[in-house]
Amino acid sequence: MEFHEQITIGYIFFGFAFLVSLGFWQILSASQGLRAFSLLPRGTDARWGYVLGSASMVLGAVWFFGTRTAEIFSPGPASSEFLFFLFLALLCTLLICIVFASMLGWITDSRRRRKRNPGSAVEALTAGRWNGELYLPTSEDAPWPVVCLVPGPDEGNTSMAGLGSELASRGVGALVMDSNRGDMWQYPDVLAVIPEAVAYLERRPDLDAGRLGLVGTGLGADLALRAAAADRQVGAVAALSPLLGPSGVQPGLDLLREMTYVEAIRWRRAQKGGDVVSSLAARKHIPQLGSRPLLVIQGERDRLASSVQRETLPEGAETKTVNGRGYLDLAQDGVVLSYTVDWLLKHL
Amino acid sequence: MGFDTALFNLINGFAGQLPLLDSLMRLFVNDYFVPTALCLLAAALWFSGDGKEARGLNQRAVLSMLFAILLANVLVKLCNVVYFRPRPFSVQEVNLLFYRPSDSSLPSNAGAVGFAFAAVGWQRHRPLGVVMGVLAALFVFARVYCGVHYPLDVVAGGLVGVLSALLVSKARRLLDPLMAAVIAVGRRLYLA
Repeated sequence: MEFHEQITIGYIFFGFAFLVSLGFWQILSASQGLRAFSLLPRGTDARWGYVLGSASMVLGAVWFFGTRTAEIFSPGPASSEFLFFLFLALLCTLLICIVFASMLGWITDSRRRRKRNPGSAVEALTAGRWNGELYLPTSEDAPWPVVCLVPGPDEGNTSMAGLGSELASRGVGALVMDSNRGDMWQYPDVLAVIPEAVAYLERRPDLDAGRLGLVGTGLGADLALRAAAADRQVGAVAALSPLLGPSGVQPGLDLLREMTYVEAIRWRRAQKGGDVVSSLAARKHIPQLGSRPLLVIQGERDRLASSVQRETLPEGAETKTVNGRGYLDLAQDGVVLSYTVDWLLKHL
Repeated sequence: MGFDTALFNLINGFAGQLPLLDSLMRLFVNDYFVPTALCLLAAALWFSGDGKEARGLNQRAVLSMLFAILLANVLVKLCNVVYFRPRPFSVQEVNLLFYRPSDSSLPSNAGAVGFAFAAVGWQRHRPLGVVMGVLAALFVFARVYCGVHYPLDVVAGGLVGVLSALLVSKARRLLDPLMAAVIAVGRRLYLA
């Protein structure tokens, strides 16, 4: 076989390997829940991933084996050359899937960020170590109880905006902190963030800081637990997916189950490689909460937060595992949202 | 060798009789279908496993597959240097459903690679080993059916593949630092 004929079969085989690899990543993404490789929007039923993947594989196989018999049954690239083309196709399609999934994630996230509940009054606040948005009830029965909401780093204030808005609509003031602020997560300065926010809430006549709750997600939950342990004024704490240890912050495939590739890089950078979670040592400080109400909610599919055993928590603490939910989607889950609001209303 | 030729004639004798069976065998015999399937199964093993520890063991198995395939290829080349067996179509009348490879018939490279995959797969994950073994068996059977190998060639190839897998398994301690380094790089890239 001439060299140019070998190159031709190489190209043709690459086309086959490309379609098959694309299908492979989609089936893998559906079966392993790898969000970072999926060409389908977040939240799409995994069955569609299998359908898309199988369709791509079948298309590649039918085209190659059905129409290229002359090239297939001629001596061509075999062994190492064949593996080179297959590896190249796997790599190319992986990059395509990662880039596409990241773009899709960015679009979905942008849409989510634009949504806001119009039913509550919102004040944008800026203070020494923190920024935030204060959601206030529109009812006339002020002073209202208040909850300070602490999202994890890089989540901004959008991940907890829904919870803040829901609390305001149920007669509770909610300060949603903006966790994107670069200097917020420096240890030990971060320990002063919640006390400063609480001091601000105490000064407001329309809020009753004597009925104060803290809610956090991820590293924000660790910070909320640590702050509540140090401040007896905090009446109730809800921790959604608290990290409680640096193991989930380590790089690896588990992150790609929860977020896109770009989000994973940003998320890990925001966590400062696990230094802050280790320094906060929230698990060690949980016993200091004593008999105060504590709610820990975790997603069944969460691969990042350390698991919390009920027996390691103080008496009176409540744990809840939400089926089918992972680390990132917990704070936006409707069931979690209403359960947390009900729980806070009961304990404040 | 007489039994080998007789068995070859029996199996190859079916070629050209049933068009559907011929088409199926032509699908399995080529250099693309089974190797692609085996590579994708190995890639799936790399990403599977609940938790870092289980996944790490799977990833070591995938790297063992690569080492076993490399070793199997080297062993086949060494065998080819010391012994050359002509292909069946070079020495007798056959029903040839494939192109005419020019390298030595014994041991079968296809058999060595296919069974190297299957043997390592079997060591780590029995059901995967069975699937890979069935694919490898179909691959080598099709090679005999289509007239490019004698049965003894594919048996020898299979033994070379299994032997390579066992040798890699024995050398696990030696290869472990390299495997750990590859997996560490994969983790840094969020791909392991």
